[in-house]
Amino acid sequence: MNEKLKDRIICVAYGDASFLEKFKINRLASKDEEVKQILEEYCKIAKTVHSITKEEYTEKPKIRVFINEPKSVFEEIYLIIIGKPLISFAAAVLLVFAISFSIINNKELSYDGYSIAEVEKANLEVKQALQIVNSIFTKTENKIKHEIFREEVSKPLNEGMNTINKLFKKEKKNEI
Amino acid sequence: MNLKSAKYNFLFPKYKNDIYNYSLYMIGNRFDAEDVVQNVLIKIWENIDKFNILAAKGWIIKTTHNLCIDELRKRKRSFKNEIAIDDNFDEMYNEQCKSLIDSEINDKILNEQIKMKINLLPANLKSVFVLYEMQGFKYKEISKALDIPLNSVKVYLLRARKKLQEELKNYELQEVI
Repeated sequence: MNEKLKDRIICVAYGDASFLEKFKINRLASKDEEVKQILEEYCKIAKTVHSITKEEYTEKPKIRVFINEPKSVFEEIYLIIIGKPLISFAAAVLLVFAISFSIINNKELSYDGYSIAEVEKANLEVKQALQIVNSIFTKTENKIKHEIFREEVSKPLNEGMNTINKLFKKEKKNEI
Repeated sequence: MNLKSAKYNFLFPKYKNDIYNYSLYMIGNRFDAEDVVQNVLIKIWENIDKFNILAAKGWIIKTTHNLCIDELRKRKRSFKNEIAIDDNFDEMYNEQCKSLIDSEINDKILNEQIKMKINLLPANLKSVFVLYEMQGFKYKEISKALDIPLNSVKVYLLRARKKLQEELKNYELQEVI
């Protein structure tokens, strides 16, 4: 038998080959008796090899470091990280994802926080506030125009001008 | 508790069986395998700060392999004594097999025979075979641990499988005769 074919049969028997290779060899085995026999022989041994269980090491080690002492929190965390790196990695990814999600979500909330009704209400309130301010300014303007200028500025000015006129008239009479 | 002991306490239960099984197959004798395990544990303790704990598997198997090779070299030096031990070993296995034949448990016989024949494989083929088939290492991990090219790992594995098959065929023929 071709050595290359034999190598392929061995790989299939020990479960190393791809699905396609398995299919090819099994098909060949169904046609060729020699291939079938070799495949069966190797399969039998491979199956037995894979069924051999590991032996337990039960001896006490010469170096026994605080094996029975309670573990500290730091050690527990350290052992979880190095003992189950996949779980630690998954937890870290989950944490990062949760933080990112909450940040993005918060941003969206602040952006979408005001509904159209709220915006309209705010506009209305601003308008009302401006109207109040406007009315105050108008009142103040009227008061300045009609009360303060008339009573406190125009009247004394007129009185002053009258007094000056009188004084001029008296002067002219005296000159004549 | 310091970091060194925390690392050791993590590595010891995780790899003790791997170290023991590999040593057992490489040396073929429980007492020496147990000695190798103790020596590996001492080496781990001494060098625990020098290797990355996440890549400890490769380092540990490399150390175990080197200690096994040292042990086998020592045996070669005391060759006469070794032959005597091996004779006993074979006799012990044969006795076990006979008792199993009597109880007609064929699978068990084959299982024991395979273990015995694995022990008879050359060291380079045996180390690759045990790591791949029994310990579940990948090609790359074996290549790194034993310091041999990836292709050699594949070639050794194939040779080991063929050799094991031949040995078991011879055994079957002897049984028939």
